[in-house]
Amino acid sequence: MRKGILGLLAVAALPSTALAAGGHGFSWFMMLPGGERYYYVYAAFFIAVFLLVASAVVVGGKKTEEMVIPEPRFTLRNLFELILGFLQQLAEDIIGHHYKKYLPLLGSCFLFILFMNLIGLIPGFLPPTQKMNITVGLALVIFLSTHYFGVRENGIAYFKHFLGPVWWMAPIMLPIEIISHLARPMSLSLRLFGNITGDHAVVAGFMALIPIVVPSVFMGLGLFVSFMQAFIFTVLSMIYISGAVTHAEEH
Amino acid sequence: MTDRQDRKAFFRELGKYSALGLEMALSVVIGMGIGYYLDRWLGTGPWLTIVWIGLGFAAGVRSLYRAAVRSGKDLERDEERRGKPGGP
Repeated sequence: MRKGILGLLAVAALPSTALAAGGHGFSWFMMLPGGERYYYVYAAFFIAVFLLVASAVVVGGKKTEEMVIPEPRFTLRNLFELILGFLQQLAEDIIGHHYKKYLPLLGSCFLFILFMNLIGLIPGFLPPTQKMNITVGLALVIFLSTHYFGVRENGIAYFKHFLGPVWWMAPIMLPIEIISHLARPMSLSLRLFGNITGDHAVVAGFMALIPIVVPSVFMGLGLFVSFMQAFIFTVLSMIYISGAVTHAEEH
Repeated sequence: MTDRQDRKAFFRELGKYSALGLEMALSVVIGMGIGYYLDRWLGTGPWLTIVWIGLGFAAGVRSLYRAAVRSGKDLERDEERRGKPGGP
């Protein structure tokens, strides 16, 4: 038991020492043409391609009947099924019984953000989510698709929701609703950006002070933050979508 | 109702409330931004900025209210499910 913990600690300390040797603020994607400025775009593309290939490997060439039986060992497919099963339960809880229409968007969003956060923990890579461009893009996708789903489910009546419950309050309620809807993508993108940047800065700071064991503690924290931020982004998108889709029954 | 479902409810609530603070603050900032640029466009002194800051604050309170109503409803539903024998 003791040996196992020590071994784990040693393994956790390895990447931090490697990063200390390599220096901070370097990403292998900077080697590519135009990478000095746009390395985060390459990194995001890399994650997208990785997810596509992984999905193809997991599903590719199998029939539906074969997919029913779970694999006996811990494989890539079981990992994906674990994550997606958790998300599915959560979506059913928040959105309701017709959650399946929105799961493709939410699930790919979760995996994309999760792996973009996690790649920052590997020495020699920077997380794309510490660039505002990426997080704003993600939040805009959620913002636009939320309103698209709202219009698709409720038709023009969706916009009545912006006018408030009573007609004479409409001139006040309209700007209030517009502001509160604009605050959503901003808070989504700012939270993701801020948490990942902050975490990276903490690891870099402790790396500069004590480059041996201490940064691995903060890398563990980084692992937690990566999961938590991807999770919070997805849960909030679910809440926004459920608000846009179901309010016709609520009022 | 098991321990597992309690944990799920905990995560759900955590996600919801961690959103609120930033959303309330950003509502005021967005309101101020809209007011400032309207003032610059129309040349109406500081008045529209002040009005839109008030509207932004109201928007923040509105999202707080929305979250509170939603959370109350969710908790109520959980209670109902808990009381039902043989429920999910």
